[in-house]
Formats: sequence, structure tokens, C-alpha cells
Amino acid sequence: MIQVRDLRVDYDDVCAVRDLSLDISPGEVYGLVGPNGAGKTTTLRSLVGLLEPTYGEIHLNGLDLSTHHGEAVQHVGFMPDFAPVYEDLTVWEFLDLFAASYLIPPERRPETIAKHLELVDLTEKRDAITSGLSRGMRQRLLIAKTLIPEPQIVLLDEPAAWLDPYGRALLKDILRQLGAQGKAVLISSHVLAEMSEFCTSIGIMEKGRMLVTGRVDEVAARVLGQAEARVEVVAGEEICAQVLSTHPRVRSVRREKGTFAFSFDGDQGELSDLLTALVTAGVRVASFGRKKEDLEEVFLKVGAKEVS
Amino acid sequence: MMPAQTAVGQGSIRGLLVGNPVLVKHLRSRLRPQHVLPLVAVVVALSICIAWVGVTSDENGSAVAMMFVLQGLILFLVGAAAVATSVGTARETGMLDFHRISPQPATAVALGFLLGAPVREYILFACTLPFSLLLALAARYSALAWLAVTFDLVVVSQLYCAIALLLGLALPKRASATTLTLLAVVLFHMGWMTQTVGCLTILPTALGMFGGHTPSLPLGTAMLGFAAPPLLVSLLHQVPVFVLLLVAGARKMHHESAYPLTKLDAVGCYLVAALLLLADAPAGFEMTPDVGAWALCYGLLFIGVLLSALVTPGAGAFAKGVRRARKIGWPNLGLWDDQAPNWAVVLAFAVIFAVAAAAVGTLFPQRGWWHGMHPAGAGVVGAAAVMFFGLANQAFGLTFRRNSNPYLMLLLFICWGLPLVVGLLVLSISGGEDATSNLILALSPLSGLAIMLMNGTTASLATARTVALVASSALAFAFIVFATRAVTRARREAGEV
Repeated sequence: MIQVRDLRVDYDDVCAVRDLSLDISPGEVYGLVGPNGAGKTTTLRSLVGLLEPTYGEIHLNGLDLSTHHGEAVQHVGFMPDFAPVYEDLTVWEFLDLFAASYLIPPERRPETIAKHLELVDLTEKRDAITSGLSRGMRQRLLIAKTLIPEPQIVLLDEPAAWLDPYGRALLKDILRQLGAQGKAVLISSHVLAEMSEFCTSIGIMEKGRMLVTGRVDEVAARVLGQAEARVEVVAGEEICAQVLSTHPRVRSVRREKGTFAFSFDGDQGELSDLLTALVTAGVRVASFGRKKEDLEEVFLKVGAKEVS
Repeated sequence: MMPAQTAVGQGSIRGLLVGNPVLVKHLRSRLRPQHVLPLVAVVVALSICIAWVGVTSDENGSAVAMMFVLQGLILFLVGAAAVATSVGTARETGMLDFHRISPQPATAVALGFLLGAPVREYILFACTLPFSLLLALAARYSALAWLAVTFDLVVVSQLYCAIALLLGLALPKRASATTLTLLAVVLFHMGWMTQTVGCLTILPTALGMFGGHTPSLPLGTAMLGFAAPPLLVSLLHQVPVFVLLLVAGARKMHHESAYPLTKLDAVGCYLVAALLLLADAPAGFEMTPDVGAWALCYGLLFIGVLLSALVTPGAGAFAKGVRRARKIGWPNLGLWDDQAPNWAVVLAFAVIFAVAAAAVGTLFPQRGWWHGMHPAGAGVVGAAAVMFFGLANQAFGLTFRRNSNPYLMLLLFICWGLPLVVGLLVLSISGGEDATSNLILALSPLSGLAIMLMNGTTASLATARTVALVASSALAFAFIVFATRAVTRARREAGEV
């Protein structure tokens, strides 16, 4: 759905993005992470045609951005960092402006606007002038504006900035829905802990280059090695220790009271088989699973150039 | 065509206006009753006062003029400032980016701002119309004359709004855009004695329709020496300039980093400017014999400098273009590409300048007492000056990058300003015409042009003219060499990054 090939963007003497290639499929929620100045915002702005690349190909929904800009961006929702609103319009008028800009027919606009106001919980503010909205409400209004054209591709630059905890929860829910609806979502954020909750893939950028990209678990595995698994046992600790020590996929077992931590180099199916084996052997299991990938750890390791 | 050349978007006029979202946005935000009604009350009250003075006294003509001043203030100053503020604010805050990435054509967005931002001022203007008509009829002017002037008021206001649009899109701060727009409006009115500039104001139409033909003030009454209705002459000037500004505005609306004009657009503009100045020359001749030729030469020099600056790529843009060309396997950028060096444009400007200046002498033969003017020589000096500026700007931009402007200013001061200042000082010390001062003045193209256009056939003037030709040509040649080297070096460096 989003295809980027050999993208290069220069600002005078500075190469902001260098030979970047990227593929984002429908239903994928892709997190673009990197330190300030890594080229994340430049990449996002190039993807919607706001920045003219030095060279490279960008295809959105199969359309070449350089030759079919109007058609290509029609199904793209973009929310920049520090996004503004027209302060002399009401909330409804603001959304109507962009519903009309995205060629939604007049008869469908009231229904579409009402749906999106409900989505971001701003129905009560529909007639309020936008200048009177709080920062968080404005950010929610901008999320609604971004989603108004029912885009197949959603590009969000630091969308969680300025959002309160309620807004963040709302955003996470919306992002999950978008992924489930088969939309391609590209999100740039510094809040790595939150991104690991809804991103299916990540790309880590530094100094304009993509250092590592892929599915979150694959990237974590490449960077951190196999994720650690844990089993918390209520009864049958000795049996558990025996089963783990004899399992061919289990390495480096550590035991602490009723909890066992170990490296597991099998896939999810094999991990599930291990759980069945433990239960069948008579171990009473309280909790079982892999440790969640820590994107922050991944990011710091990649940033420290530990990726081979 | 390079892949990233900007496209402005297209659509029928109806499609661009009906349901235009940006226009609707302005209708909503600018026409809220609580903002409009107090202003309507003020304007109606002022109109009633002026109408009362006009109807009850013998000074009908003055009252008509006062009403046009009121209308001009509303449309030209407040209306144009509204456009500059609206576009400038949208650009500063980043709202324009939302419009740029929407499927709306850039022309539609530009028209939305152009027609929408001053909509409150048009309502106020409409409120004055009944009073304006009443006053015109009371002063025994025809309704047709009133209609022509009113129509031109609207056209001129759109012209100023288009200037505001372009400045709002091009300048980094909205306050600068508003200030420069107002300055441009004032400057147009200050330069009204020259027909080409005068026709960018309401004055030729207003004076022509209400003042009658005044032999000493033939503004807007002739083109190429033929009499023409003032409104027609004004529109022949206003419409091309408006179209140019709209095209440039739409390009900037489409992309923040786009040049306002393509190189070919710039050459087209220069050609139109040369034709208008040439056509207007006889009107100037009638007033004071040589003013048309002077206006043509200095006008083309100023416009040439402005347009070449607009289309000259900086070091970053040039390097970008070179890398892009290499990526797709081209050895060099196309001659007319946005990121290509400005050679072709500068050369075209020089040819147009030389031909136009020679033509002014051929088409309108010199008359009696101002014999001795040398328009063809002025053409050479002017063409060389335009080439010098364009190539120096290109060379310095590539060599000194972002710091090029101070160096370029220094160069212009040394080559253009210093001989002028020193020559004038020597002239003032000698207390009149002096061969030495003429020789010094001839070193600067600014005064070199004047020496070519001066009356007289004395030996010292002939020497000064030769010096002017040699000096301007030498400067142009030096910068052909300098610019060629700078381009070669920049091309090599672009491949190394």
C-alpha cells in the first residue's frame, strides 16, 4: 500500500533522508522511530508530497506520487507534528472544510462529520469555536480531520503529543481499529513504550538512514536475541524444572521462587506445546508467555550501533 | 520534463469557484454578523455624509472623488491586507500544508484565498455603490462611465489582492507580506505618471471617464500611438499582470519550495512587459518627449533584475537537480528546468531588452528638439546590465551559498552604485556638465543608460557613451566566465555529497 524506493531528500548541503526503501502492507501499523533529526518527519512529509525528494519513487495505493499527486493523496490521511486548526471556524465547520476538500459529496458530509466527532468524543463541541478548545481537544479534532476522508493510508507524526491519558487511550483504540480495517498506518513517535502496544512493524532511523526494519518481534529478536519466556508456577516447581531442563528449545533457565525465566528459540506453536507439556506433567501454571518486546531497549541498542 | 516539476492542477472556472471549500471557509469566518454589521454601519454612515455633501453643494466632482477614495481604501488597502494576512497566517501556522495535500487543485485553493479573504470588504464596497451612483448622476456623469470606473475598481482590487496572495505565499512572515502589499499599492499610485505603472491603478479610467480627455494628461488614452478607451487600455495592462500573479500564486500554493515562475513563464512575462512598455512609449512621448524610452529602459532593467532573481536556483536546488538528473541517467539538467542555471533566461532577457530598446527608436522616430538620444546603445547597455546581474546572482549563489546576498550587494554597490555616486559628486563640484563626471557615470549601467538616453551629440557625450558600452559589456563578459566556472564547480561538488 505504501512503497518507497531509494528515497533521498536534501536540504541544501544536508542529506536528511538517504536512499530509504520502505514497504507497508494493508493492515500493518508501522512505527517509525529515531532520535531528533533522524529524518522521520522529512520521510512523512515526502510521502504526502509536501517535500520534493531529490530522487526516489513513492507509490501510494499503487499510484506514483510524482505523476498522480491529486489521486494518490485523495486516500491519505496525514497529521503533522504541531498541527494547526483554523481558529475562526467552529469544530463542525472545520471538519466540513476538509470533508469538502476531500470531495465528499455535500449530502454525505453531515453524517460523516457526526461519525468522526463521535469517534474522537467531540460531539458536544460541534458548534464551539476551535480557538476555545484545549490542546488535547484540538489534537482529537485533528485526528478526526485526518480520518474524515476514510483514508486507506494514515500517516501520523507524533500524534500522542499533547494528548492526555484519555486521549492516548482513545488514540490507541483508533489505531487498533484502523489496523483491523486493513488500513496501512505509518506513525512516528518518541513514546516507544506505547508504540509497542499497537505497532506490528517498526523501522529505526538515524541520520537519514533506515538502520533496521521489519515486524516488531523479528526486529527485537535480531537486535536483542531471542525474547525471554517466563512461567510462574503455583505448585510443581520441581517437575517444572525437570521439564524445562530436558526441553530441546529451552536454554539458560533461571529460577527465582516460583518463577522460571528462560531463553526459548522456538516459534509460538512450540511455546504453546511447552505449556501443554508442563500442564500435562502436573505443573499448576499461574502465568506463562514471552516477555513483551521492549522497543526502548531495541532502539537504544540500534542507536548504539549494535546491529550487525 | 523532470519528474518533480510542479503541476498546478486544472479545472474549469466554474469547477474552481462553485463549492470551493476555501472560499466557503472564508464566507463562514469573515461574514459572521457580529463582525460585519458594525463595519457596515460605519461605511453606510460615511457614505451618507459624502452623498449629502455631494448632493447639497456644488462640489459634486469632489464628492465623487471622495467616494472613490473611500471605496479604494476599503478594497485596495483593507481588502489586499486581508488576503496577505489570511494567506500569511495559513502559511505560518502550517494550515496551507493541509490544503496542499488535499485533492483540491492549487488554483482552486489560490482562488479561494483570493476571492474569499476580502469578502467582507466586498460587502462593505457593495454598501457604498448606491451612494456612489447617486453622486455620479448628481455630478452629471453618465451611468456607463460610473459602471466602467466601478468595474475597474474591482479589477484593480483583485490585482492588488493577487499581489498580496503571492507575497503571503513567498515571504516568511505575514507582517512583511501585508506591509509590502500596502507599499506596492502606494508605489503604483506614486508612479501613475508613467502610463505602464499608471494603468495598474484606477486613475487612468477614473480620470478618462470622469475628467474627460486632457491633452496634458493623456494617461490611458493611447497605445502604440492610437487612441483607445481608458478602460480598455487599463485592462490590457491589468489582466496580464493579474494572470501572471495568479499563475505564480498557484505554483507557490502547490508547493512551498516551488519557484513562483518557470523559466519559460519568466521569459513570457518579460516579453509582455516589453510589449506593454513599447506600446505605452508614445503616450509618454506626448507628455514629455523622451519619457517613454526612459520608462522602457529602466522598466525593463528593473523587471529583468526582479524576474531573473525569481528563477535563479540556489546552490541547494541546483545540487538537487544535478543529483536527480544523474539518478535518471541524464548527463545534465534541461536548459529550462527549474533547477538549471539561469543562462537561457538571462540571454532571452538580454535579447528582448536590446530589441525593445532598438524598436522604440525605430517605431517612434525622434522629434526635433530632443534629437541625439541613442536607444539602440541603451539597448546594449541595458542588455549587458541584465546579463551581468543575472549571471552574478547565479555565480554568487553557487559559490557563497546562503551567504551570497551580502556579497552580491557589495558587488552591485561597487559596479553600479559607486560610479554613480562618485560621478554625481564630481558633477556637483564642477557645477554643471563635465566630461570627467560623464566618463565616471558611464561606468555604471544605471547612469550609463541615462547617458545613452540623454539629448545631445557633443564629443564628450560620445566618449562617455563608448565607455558605457565597453564597461557594461566587459562586466557581462567577466560574469559569463565566472558563472561558467561556478556552475562547473557546483556540478562536481553535487556528485561528491
